[in-house]
Amino acid sequence: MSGGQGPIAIETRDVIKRYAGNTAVNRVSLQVKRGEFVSLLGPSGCGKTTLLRMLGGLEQPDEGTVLLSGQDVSGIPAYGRNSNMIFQQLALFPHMDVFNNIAYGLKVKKTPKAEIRKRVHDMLELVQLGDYSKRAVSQLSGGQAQRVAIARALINKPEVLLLDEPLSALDMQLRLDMQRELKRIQRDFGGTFIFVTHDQNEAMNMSDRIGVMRGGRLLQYGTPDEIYEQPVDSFVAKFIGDTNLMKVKVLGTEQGNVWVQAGGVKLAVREPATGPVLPDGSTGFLSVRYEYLRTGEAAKDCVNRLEGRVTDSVYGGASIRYTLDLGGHIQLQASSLFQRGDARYVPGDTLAAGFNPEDGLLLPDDPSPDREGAL
Amino acid sequence: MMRAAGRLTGLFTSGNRSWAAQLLLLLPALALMGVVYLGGLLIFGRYSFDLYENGRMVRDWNLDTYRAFLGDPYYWKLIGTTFRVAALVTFWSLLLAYPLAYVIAGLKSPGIKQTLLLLTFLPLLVSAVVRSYGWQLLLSRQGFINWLFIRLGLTDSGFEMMYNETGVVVALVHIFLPFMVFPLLNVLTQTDGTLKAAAHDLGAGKWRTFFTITLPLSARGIASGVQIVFTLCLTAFTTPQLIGGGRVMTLPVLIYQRTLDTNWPMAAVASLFLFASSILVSLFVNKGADWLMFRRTRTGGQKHA
Repeated sequence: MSGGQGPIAIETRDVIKRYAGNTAVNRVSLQVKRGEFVSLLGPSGCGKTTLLRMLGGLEQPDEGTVLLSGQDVSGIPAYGRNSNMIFQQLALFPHMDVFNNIAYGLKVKKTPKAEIRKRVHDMLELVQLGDYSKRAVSQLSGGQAQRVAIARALINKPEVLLLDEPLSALDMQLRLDMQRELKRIQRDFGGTFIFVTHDQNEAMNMSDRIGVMRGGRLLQYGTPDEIYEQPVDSFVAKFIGDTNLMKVKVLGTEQGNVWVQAGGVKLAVREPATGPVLPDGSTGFLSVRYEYLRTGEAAKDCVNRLEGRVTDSVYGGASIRYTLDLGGHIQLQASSLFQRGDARYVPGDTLAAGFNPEDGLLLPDDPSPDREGAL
Repeated sequence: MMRAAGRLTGLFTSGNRSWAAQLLLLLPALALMGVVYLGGLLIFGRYSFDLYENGRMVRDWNLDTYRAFLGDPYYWKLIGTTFRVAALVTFWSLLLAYPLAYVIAGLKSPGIKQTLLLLTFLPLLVSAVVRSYGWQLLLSRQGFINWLFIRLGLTDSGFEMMYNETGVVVALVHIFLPFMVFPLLNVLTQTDGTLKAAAHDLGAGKWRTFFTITLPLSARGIASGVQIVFTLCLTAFTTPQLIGGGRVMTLPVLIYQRTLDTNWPMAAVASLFLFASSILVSLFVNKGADWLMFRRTRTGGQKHA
């Protein structure tokens, strides 16, 4: 990478962007290490695209700074920055063929023709489109257009490549292929990629780190494991993976376990490893992932034991998902691995369920009453 | 009765649209074009082979009028004037219309956009005769514009702007400007804003983006505007007649005069010449637009690959 000194490729410090009174991005600080694949994840309207456009210089922050390789680039427009963007609509130039689309950035920089030819050739190899240089953009399939857009951006050797939901228009299979392809390109090319998406699977599949956004705020930034296992609040827990959320009241702490009350049952959950300890008497959410809620025989040894009536059972091949009604308006979902010959329950059956304290997670009450991110 | 109605509507449902139904739909327009336009053209075509002798038309099959038209330097001078005026008007309207269309296309407020559009198209609501008389008032030696020039000290006695090409060009630019703005506006509003953002992102500044993205992508709009305005200018009659006052001779003015003189063979030959040259100009401009748009693409790619 050009100018690659220092471990931080791009960084924002307390950036704020407002549109007509609405705060699209609210005091976001983010550090992306060189060579990382980072996803910005959140529902539409959460500010992730605005943040990305500020990283690329297509928007300027109202407050705060953007640092590219340690250099303050706030106020510098897109054409003055060594970062490149892949747009949601790809924005390939329709009046140019593949070669000229990819060569555009180099031509702007007045690169010698022989070098342009060589580098375009290399790029076409990288994205596996060797013979396509003379094709018109209109003759490309969705996946090929993606690759051209990637090549057009990477040929400039950007310090950071910004991707704004570029896969959202593709069908499922092509999308999975392109996810793998993007990871391969990132490995071969060795760059820093920042990828905006609203699809949690996409983020989980590809990222070294994920930033979860909502209502203009960066709620959590960490590895996929951290986000999945230690979500900071109920929104993150619900958005990444499937989880049961129960409104609970904190009763007290005992030997590293917090006792909480949900409906009529008392449950024990491991004390949060990070974040504030909830005081006794306060309310919060208990999160139990579908796959951590054990059922049938496996539930017998659990510290927290429950029993409910099966109201729904969905067969998913390798697993089955049961919906359990525990009474008192508590409904839980459990997904258990399924092998031929295992006991299978049908709606109406009574089923034991349970989980251990370390499989549950006590989360604070949703701190932000503003619902702007929940659109 | 019901069944007949059903069959009739069946003709027009999309799955069942037979060639008969399509023909039926085309018929009114075809009839109008065939009878009025093609018929008129054929009749005039026939006249062009007749002779005009001693103030009278003589039925004949003869190429003498063609020879007279194409062999006379007077007519070539007149053809030259016609094309020069058309070219100048096209050039100036393009120069005025492009920035106007660019600004209107970039406007975000629909209110201002509507107002500017209305102002642009307002001249079309007034007849060409009225507008030409209006320009006579403005351009004449005692007119407002000369009064302004004298006041500003640009001239002592005023410029000659009536009864010459300058006046005709000024008035025609005003009249035909909307016809240039509209196709430009069409392509400029369709141009995707993210294409410009992409060019910026790839390092191109504002001007570079304009010349490599916006301008080539508006080539088709430029071509349409040029075609429309150029052909309208070639065939414009009222304005050259009124502002030119008989001193700016263009082909339509000539055709009008020859028709009045009952020299219909010459009028017919001049008309057919005008018709043919309009078609040629259109074809030429279309090719030019393609060339402008794809010059830096297909050929470039082939050369490099």
